[in-house]
Amino acid sequence: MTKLKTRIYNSEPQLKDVRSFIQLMINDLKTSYELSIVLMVRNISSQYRQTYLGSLWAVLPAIFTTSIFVYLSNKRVLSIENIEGPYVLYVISGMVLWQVFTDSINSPLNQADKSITMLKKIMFTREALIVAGIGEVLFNFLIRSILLVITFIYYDVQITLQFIFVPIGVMSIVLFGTVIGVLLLPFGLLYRDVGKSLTMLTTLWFFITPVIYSSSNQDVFDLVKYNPVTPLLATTRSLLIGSNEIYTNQFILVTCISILFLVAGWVLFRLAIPHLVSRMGS
Amino acid sequence: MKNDELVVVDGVSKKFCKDLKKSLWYGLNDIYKELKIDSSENNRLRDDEFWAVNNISFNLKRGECLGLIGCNGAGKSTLLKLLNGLIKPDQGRIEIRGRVCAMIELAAGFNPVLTGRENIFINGAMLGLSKKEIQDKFDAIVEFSEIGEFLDTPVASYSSGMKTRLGFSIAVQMEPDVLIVDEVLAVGDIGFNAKCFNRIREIYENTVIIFVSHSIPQIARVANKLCVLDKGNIVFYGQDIPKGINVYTSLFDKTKKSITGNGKATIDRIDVSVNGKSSVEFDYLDNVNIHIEVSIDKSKLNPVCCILILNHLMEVVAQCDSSFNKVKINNIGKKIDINILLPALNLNPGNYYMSVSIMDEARIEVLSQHFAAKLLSVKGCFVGMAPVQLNGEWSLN
Repeated sequence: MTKLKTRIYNSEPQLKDVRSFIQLMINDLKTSYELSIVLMVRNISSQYRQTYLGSLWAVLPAIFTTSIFVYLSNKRVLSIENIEGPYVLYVISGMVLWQVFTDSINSPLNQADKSITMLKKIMFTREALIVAGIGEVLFNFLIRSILLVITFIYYDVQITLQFIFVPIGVMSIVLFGTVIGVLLLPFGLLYRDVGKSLTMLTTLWFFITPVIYSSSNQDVFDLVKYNPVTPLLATTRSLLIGSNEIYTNQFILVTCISILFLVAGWVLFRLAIPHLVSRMGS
Repeated sequence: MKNDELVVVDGVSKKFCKDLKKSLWYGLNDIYKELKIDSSENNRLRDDEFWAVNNISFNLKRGECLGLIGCNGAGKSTLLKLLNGLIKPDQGRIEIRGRVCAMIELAAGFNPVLTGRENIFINGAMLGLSKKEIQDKFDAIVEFSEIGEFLDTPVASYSSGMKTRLGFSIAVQMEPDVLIVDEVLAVGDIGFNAKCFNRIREIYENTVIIFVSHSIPQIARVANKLCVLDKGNIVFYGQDIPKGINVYTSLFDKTKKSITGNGKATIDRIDVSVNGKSSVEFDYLDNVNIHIEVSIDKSKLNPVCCILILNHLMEVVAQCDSSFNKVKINNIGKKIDINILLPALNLNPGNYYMSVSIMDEARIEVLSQHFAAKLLSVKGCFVGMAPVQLNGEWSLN
């Protein structure tokens, strides 16, 4: 007779027994792998099924925003300085990376929100939701890369050796966004205020991040310098298109802090989920 | 292997809040308390809170099937969610061993734009089946669910019964040690329902089953232990199913009585007696006497008297009608005494309501109706699936 898996649910705080808490965390992460993939495939294959334009929707926002800023800059409404190479290339690569960031921030809360019925009725490894969300963000990035490739060919961009570090850059952006998303998730599921202000704040955040302008500009304001997304996005873009906005130290610092907070966010997520489900009604 | 306890529930309580804003705030506080590793004051009710589940304990071994019954809002679903680990108890402890399969809402994991085929894999993975397991069982699932040609159709165009069927078929393939079923079988048609019960029978011996149902015949058929909940508390727990069902049906006693009609008749008295003694309690096959005193408006020359027997769900299960029995009630405006003998009344043990109505000859006008006027209690230890137990004369060759 094989030993049966035993589960214990009690009223004690989950962290009272730290060892078994960590054990469960690791266990669940391992077992969530297969489910994460299934959920990711589900999300991806269902996300465009009810549309006419299909996966074009992954790239349309980036094209649209880029056109606006290129138009404004051509008309001299915006004055953009210190940019080497074509502006279209600069903005479109910035936009694609920026979208990776906003997708990552929104993903945890969106996933949980979409899955409320499931959370209330089915006991599955909850981590799978978050992991599947990350997978979806990366998949959408891959689709958008097609846009990048086309632009690169058009502008005849030379691929340098730095290019191999691009995935690390993208992963750091995803990591930072996901950490914020996961930390906000418990509050966002309880109070809709969080989701609403998130939409508002990301618009503001866009303008203090060097997406459509350069961070090497002399008179760029302080908010941009202290914005943690700046080193991540600017560095990754520089790796992509070979410009000179590389901030290695800040990049490593932000990434390390993100990793620490990811663990904290994960613990919070696990502690919060049963309480959140209790408050979501039947 | 048979006698090990798989489910141990010890003093479990859960509180909910009536006010949404407060509930959210308490939720936030509870999360903060988790971070502080503080379990104090879990047993205290905060403003606007109530115990949805209060101090519940029971143990279940393999082969035991616990029926959970109670009125709406008694805490049945909350208890199932606690057992499944979806929510956390505020007090007490739950220990569950083995593979748990909870059928709380079978269609919850379905994505409407994806096809049945795709959803089988998704739902199976969520229930903890590996891809290989699902592939192996795929044909069995499809066959059991009877969805046939709709397999590659988006689930959005399934009927609710079809979704439940598919959900049940996936869940039932799990070979669980503990099976939790929440009223999900109410949606399927009779044929599918029977199939589900047969399947539950198949896994019965090696499984702990906990199931919620409002259908007493279902409970009587499957459960070998019963737990009756009322407002979060256990009011009955044990293996004496008939007794438990009595406790359950008596929860409904209080409020049902009502008098309606257009006032052209007044029923002054309704009395039930057995063997000459006034009593609403009697045994199976007793001769039951009903005595009614009624005054009816002179304009109604030949009124009709009808007695209805209802079950606890207020469904009519039997009737006795003066016009059917070809009894003519001559009304001259004076008080009428009506006596009805119901010989060898073959109602199954349980609680029933009796309604009396007086109608005009055409049975259109209700002159007076005493709805659920009496609560009848049939004693006995046998509980059947139907309200009536026919007393057959059997012979075997």
